[in-house]
Amino acid sequence: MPDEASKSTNSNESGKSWEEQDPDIVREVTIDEYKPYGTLTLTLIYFAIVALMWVFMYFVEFAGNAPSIIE
Amino acid sequence: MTFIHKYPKAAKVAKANFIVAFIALAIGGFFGFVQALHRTNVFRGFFNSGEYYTLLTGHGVLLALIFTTFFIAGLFVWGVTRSLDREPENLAYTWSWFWLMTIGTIMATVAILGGLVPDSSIRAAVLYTFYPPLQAHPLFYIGLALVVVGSWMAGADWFWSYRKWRGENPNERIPILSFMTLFTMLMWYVCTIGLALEVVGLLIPWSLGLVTEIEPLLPRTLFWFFGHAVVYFWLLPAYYVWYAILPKLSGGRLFSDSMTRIVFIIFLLLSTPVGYHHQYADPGISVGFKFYAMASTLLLLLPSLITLFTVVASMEHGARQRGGKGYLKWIGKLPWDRPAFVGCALAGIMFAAGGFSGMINASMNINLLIHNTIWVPGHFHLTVGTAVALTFMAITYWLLPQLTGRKLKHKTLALIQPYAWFLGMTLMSNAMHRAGLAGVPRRTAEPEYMGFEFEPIFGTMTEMKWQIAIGGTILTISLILFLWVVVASWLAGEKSDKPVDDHIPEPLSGVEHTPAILDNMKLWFTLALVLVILAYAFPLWEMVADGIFSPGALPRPS
Amino acid sequence: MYEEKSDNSTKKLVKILVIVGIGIPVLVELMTLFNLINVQIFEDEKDVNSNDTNVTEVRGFGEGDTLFANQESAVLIDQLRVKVSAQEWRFALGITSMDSTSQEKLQIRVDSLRLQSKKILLGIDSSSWEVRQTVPAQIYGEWALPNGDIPTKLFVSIEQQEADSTTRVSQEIPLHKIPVRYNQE
Ligand code: HEM
Ligand SMILES: [Cu+2]
Repeated sequence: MPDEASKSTNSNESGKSWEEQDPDIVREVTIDEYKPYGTLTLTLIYFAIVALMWVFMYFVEFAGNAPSIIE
Repeated sequence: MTFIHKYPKAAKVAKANFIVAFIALAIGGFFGFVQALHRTNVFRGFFNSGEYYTLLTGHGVLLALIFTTFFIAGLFVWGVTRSLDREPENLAYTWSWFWLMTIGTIMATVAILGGLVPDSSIRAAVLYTFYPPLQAHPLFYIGLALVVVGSWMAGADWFWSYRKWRGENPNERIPILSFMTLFTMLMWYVCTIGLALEVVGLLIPWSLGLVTEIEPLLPRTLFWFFGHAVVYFWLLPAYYVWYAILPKLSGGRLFSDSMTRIVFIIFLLLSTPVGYHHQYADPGISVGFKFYAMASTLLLLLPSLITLFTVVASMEHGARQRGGKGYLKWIGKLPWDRPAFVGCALAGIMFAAGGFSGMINASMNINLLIHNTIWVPGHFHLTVGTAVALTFMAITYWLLPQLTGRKLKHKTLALIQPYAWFLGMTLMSNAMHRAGLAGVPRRTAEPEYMGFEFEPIFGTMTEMKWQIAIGGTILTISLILFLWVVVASWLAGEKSDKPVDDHIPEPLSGVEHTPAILDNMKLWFTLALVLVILAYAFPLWEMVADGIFSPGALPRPS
Repeated sequence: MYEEKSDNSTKKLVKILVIVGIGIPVLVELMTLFNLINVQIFEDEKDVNSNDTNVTEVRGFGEGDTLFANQESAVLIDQLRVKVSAQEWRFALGITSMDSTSQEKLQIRVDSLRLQSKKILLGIDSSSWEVRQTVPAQIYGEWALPNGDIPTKLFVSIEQQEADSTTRVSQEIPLHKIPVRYNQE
């Protein structure tokens, strides 16, 4: 595979994975063990806001009892 | 070893593009500051209200068109060179497109700034949408045309590299950085057809006096043929950064290679056929076509939602590798002390907020509520003004060391900068949205709400005007910080063999899981053209039938 | 990521930056949302209710309406405008008598004007009437308004001279929305 890594100007001398070389990374999370629950939570929050704003829009546009376009 | 040591020629080209981009950013940003103070009547001493429109044109053109285009060119030179592992094929050619774009930029800028010279006949206060009947000096249109031609040549340069690379690697998949570049450029080729027709076919002859009358609807339509796709031309490079680089800055890997490719394909297909959503208030276009544009626009929310998911999932992966836990607690484990990361992340959050006002703009009926009000600048300062501009600034903190071989200086100032931008933009944009809801117009030097009673939805006019002025000032300070860090690092940063960790790890779900058809550029490009023809042929034909080529004729209601 | 580990002072700075740079924006947006919902959903109802009572009560007078309709000498409002120019705002009123009563016999006075700001303009000088036509009487007047203010009520009285007596009637005239016109002079 034309991995970006292999094209990288970074020389991976020891053959260790990038995660192992980075001192900030405490453990490597592989695709099989990775479950993006946090992303799910954030996405649901975002959708909830969108839905709420959409309902709110009803009041602004239709229930405001005033014309949107003046004159 | 970093980029500059491996590809010194490409590094030089990328740096040249960045220099032009940052000069445009500095001048345009200063104009933005003046506007924020002028239209709120906080301080009107810089320029008079007649000159306001010259400044506003300078602001729009230099930031939205010039800063973006040059930065994108630099970014793509970096990405193509790196991912294909080859320097530009022919340097004379590469420099010729750079100089063509630069000369065009200088011409357009001179035409605009001419408006500040008393009695000058060279002026171009036509705003960055340059709709007739506003007319600019020919220098302005010709300059912009040169920029566009230069950008086409730049795209061709990257396709050239790709062809050569393909010849040597017949069985490999397109590396993701190149994939994103090439698809962005394909979209650019589709949409600039409209701009080229408008500028070369109508505006240049008209400004030279060869043609005396043109119907305003046609140039408006051609402009927006280009005008919506251009927002994606700005945005996709920001996505490019969020997909390719941000995961790594978060300490993780891109979640999915195929999602990334799908998103870029959808943008190629749908960016151009939706242009009518900028013309909801234009007469002479049947409402059915506007409705079609609205439906496609709402469809276009999909790739942005996929992006939201993919990018956030990649960041979460990074946070978990850094020891993050829980449903939301992992967010705290992200590197909130690294300027490049912070800038990209905050830009992404702003973009999500811009999505809210974008949905309002896109809806045909509600759009009329805010059409041509200051709400609209409020919206696009979240998108192009932050999602794009702040991402570009932030990634400069990571790219510049690779291009100059120098470490970043003033890391503390660099860290303050994105937070300040976020704060300033929230203040300015929030007040712009609210003022727009109350009907305050955009593009107005002196919107006067004094001396009579005017009730905005809530709050007061005075409070909103101060919020805009203060927000604009904080933004300007943030911009100065950015420019200071860049200039200082560029000239005096500590030289290093490895000024920054430039490694980009492979995606979690790699290209081996990506269907090959996604790389079929001919297929997608053809499909994009077909969709554009479907969307534009009928309305254009209708306009012709209505007498668009006989200006002055009475319109026929449709 | 081979940069130095962030030390304590950076940690503190980040904390401040997050509180100021993200906290204030979140606060501003929440306040906006709260205010919007408050105004749109709760205050609207009050407005709607109060409008209802207003509407049933009176509909203001406007151009083309008749004054003193139940008197002998009914008159017609033939002009009612706010004229705006760069210098000032003026209230313009033109009145025509409905029958052929002549100007000498009919005296119309604008006693006072009540403005939107609840101010009252008093002692309006009847000499400012310009007689456009004597039979039937047609008169026209203009008054300077405080900038940006619009009249909401007129207090008008009318004096009719018969052979030996004078009848005097006053009327309070609530005004409908007055058209504002820009004056290019
Ligand atoms: C220092 C930061 C900035 C400030 C204070 C600022 C301020 C403003 C203001 C007040 C307006 C509205 C003027 C009016 O409609 O009367 C405006 C318009 C605009 N701004 Fe900005 N802005 C800033 C940064 C940016 C950036 C980074 C971009 C894009 C990359 C941008 C793009 C635009 C565009 C396209 C317009 C519309 C121009 C037009 O209506 O023709 N601005 N800006
Ligand atoms: Cu658009």
